Amino acid sequence: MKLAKYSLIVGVAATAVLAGVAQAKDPRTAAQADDEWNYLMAAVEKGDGLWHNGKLGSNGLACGNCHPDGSATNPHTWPKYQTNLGKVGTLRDMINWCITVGRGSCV
Amino acid sequence: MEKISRRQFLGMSTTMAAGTLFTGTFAPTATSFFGLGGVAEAATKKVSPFTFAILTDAHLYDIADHKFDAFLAKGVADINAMNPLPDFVLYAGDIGQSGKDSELKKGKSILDKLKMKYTVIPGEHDWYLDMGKAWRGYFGDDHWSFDHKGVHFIGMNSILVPDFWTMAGLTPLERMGRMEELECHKCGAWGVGSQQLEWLAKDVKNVSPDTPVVVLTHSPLWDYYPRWNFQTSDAPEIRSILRKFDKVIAIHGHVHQVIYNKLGNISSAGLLSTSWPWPYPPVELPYPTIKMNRVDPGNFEDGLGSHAVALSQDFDGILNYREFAHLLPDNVRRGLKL
Ligand SMILES: [Fe+2]
Ligand SMILES: [Fe+2]
Repeated sequence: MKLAKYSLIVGVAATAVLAGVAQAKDPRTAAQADDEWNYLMAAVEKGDGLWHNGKLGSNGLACGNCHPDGSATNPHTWPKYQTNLGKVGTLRDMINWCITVGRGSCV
Repeated sequence: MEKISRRQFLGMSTTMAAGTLFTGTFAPTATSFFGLGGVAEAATKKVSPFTFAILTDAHLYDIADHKFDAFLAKGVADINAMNPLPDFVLYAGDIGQSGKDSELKKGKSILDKLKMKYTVIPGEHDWYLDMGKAWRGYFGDDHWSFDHKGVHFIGMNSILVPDFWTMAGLTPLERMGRMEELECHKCGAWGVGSQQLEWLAKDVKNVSPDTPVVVLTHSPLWDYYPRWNFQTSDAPEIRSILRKFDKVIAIHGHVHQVIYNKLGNISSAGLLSTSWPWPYPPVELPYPTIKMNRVDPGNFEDGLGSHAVALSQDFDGILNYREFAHLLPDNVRRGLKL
């Protein structure tokens, strides 16, 4: 109970601090803000492409085929014992498995 | 009066106790000899019992010896090995992955190995490279109806979206690429469109209300999960046209999973693919026990299968998911009562 109350206070304080930061004057010039935005969107575009274009695997399948909106990836559950890996693995191990020997490979 | 054996009775109780598939009884036939109009074949409540098979969602790639080729061939072999053979086969869309002529051609050559006649409707993956040109060349009309042993069968093209590509200046390849994404945000909701609605109204105009009807569409005729186009935007209109019938069995592809719903006079069921299974979207299902289990990613056949539907004299339907692996819970494995 005490702990919960304490967490709540910390949470509120943290929110207040973050809100303060968000309201501070933007230290970037307009050009720098643009750079940042463009960099971010290029990364989004690249990620979206990798997710959907099937170029990571070898048989045309993309991650997005089986995992629309990233479903059934359960990122919060890793690392864990995974039968198909035969050991405790990380999400990264599982992704590589999908691409190299799983449904997304021509094996 | 037909007697029900104790064993049959117990079987029924088990089904009911499992809280699942009992969809009500249907009045016996006999009274339906009036007002038949010109519809000779289908206008009787009695069905001469038969079985038909279904395959869907092969998503073939233009790559030689792709594993999905073998899965579709496995579905075909499974149906060819049924004893007795089903009367015919329905295919519920997504033969190809990217709408390429080569994919559809490969699909047709595999499906041509079926020992019986098959009839096809399109899915979005078949369509958006050339707006159905190649598909129509191989498989004919995208909507159709026929009568078989007292049942009126209807197939429709439910994946028509409003034009999102012209204004955006997309090439056919880009348009197809967008449609290949299940969660495509720019593509919009699809449906059968006004022309097919008119056609449907006309098609069933002279079919008497006590005629058993089976409808095949790529997408479900109810709002399951619109974000993934697990819907048909003009389903309410379709359902109202079909409302006059005592009972309609609606079957759809696209969802790559076991799913069941009942809306008034319509029993609706989704199908397994022969390519990959999809997880259940985050929605509360109306019949939560009618599901497949989570798929084993290490078994590429898990979640795939073919299907058989047996129709009884009184138009009770049993849908059997003939899974390649082992992901069905027992209540679904016993057969889904439609
Ligand atoms: Fe599909
Ligand atoms: Fe589809």
